[in-house]
Amino acid sequence: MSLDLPDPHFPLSEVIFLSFSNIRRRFFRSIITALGVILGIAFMAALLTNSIVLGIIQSETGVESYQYWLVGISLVVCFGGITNSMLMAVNERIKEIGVYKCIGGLDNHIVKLFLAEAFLLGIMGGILGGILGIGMGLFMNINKFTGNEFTLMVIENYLSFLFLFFLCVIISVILTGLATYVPARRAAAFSPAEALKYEK
Amino acid sequence: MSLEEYVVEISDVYKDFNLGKIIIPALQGISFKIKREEYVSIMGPSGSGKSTLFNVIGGLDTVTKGEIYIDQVDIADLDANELAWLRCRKIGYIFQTFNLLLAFTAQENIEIPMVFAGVNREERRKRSKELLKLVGLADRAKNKPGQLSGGQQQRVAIARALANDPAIVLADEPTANLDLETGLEIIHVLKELNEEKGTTIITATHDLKMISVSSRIIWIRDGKVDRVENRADIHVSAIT
Repeated sequence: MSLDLPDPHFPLSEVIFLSFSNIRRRFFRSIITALGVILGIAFMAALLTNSIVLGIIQSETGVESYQYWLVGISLVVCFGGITNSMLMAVNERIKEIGVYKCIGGLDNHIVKLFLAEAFLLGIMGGILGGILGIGMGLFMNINKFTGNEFTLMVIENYLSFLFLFFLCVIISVILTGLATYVPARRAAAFSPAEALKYEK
Repeated sequence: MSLEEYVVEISDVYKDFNLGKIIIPALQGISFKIKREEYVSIMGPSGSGKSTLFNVIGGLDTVTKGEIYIDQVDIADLDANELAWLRCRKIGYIFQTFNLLLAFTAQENIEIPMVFAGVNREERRKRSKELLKLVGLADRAKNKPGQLSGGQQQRVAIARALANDPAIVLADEPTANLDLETGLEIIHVLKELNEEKGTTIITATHDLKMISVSSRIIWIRDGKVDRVENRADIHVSAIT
């Protein structure tokens, strides 16, 4: 039996409006989630900045191997922190997903809503985390330079830091997106009855 | 007129819950028909299968066996998107715990089903205002659920259920979280809708106050239809 359905369109403006309202209403919770993202990114950015700066100082001796370890670990911590925050953020809202389904939301609509929220949080977390982390990474090394050598070093290598900043934003958006997509997809596939009685 | 007059037709529906080693038969061969513009209450003790029946009629859960026709469409045959479409256009839901979206105002809550239905913004504004007026909350449009009493939240939920002009409104214990008087108010709102707009209303309930407004009562026991009574037949026994 076919119902001959019209295309379920869900305009982007509506998606953004709904997601934004959700973030605003859950402001405190959103801040905590965003903090998880910010800290993960900041940790990674700080260690990467540190290794960029050390790389500049030690250009003759080369980068020491423990620094590669640090970068690896920072990526893992960042990944863990963000995934954990976003998984929690979706799981505690499965009942809400049930409500969306009862009032006619398609699985796709619901996934879109959560992805839009993740995108907003990811951008914010990436920008703030990047600034915080790069700032800290530079600050850690300020006493290795004298006077305006430090400023000079930053200006000469601003491209590396800018690149690192954009890398932070991109990693943040991709990780928050993935860590939201997987559980949201799963939750959206529940029958509404299951979702509504889901206990966290 | 033969088939057309039935808006819900259920025949020989079974629903089992599989809990690993044990299988719990919640519905064991339920059949009944509900006509357009009826007000039907499904009653029965806790654990009798009322809520399960509510869920399968509403397309909120799948059945193990059997057929369910809503407005001539067998919902057992529908895929996930088609079911969502059905929930959006054909059925309005009212729950015991209201289930409003807390992030949104009363008016926005009523508009969201219309967003999913693809109604444009102007039309949504207009319709949600009318619906708020209908349930007597015209001055509460900008309030969020947290700023409304239980009875008011349930009125918003009723308005939301009506957003896309559904063929039936399903209410699962709509009065269970409300005090006696507020519960009566909600029952009256539902009855008014039924009488004035001709909306078919199906409630699963414990609340004996429902009996006086229902055109029929379907008693469920152990996952089966125990008996079906017209209001006139049980009027006296319910009061006493």
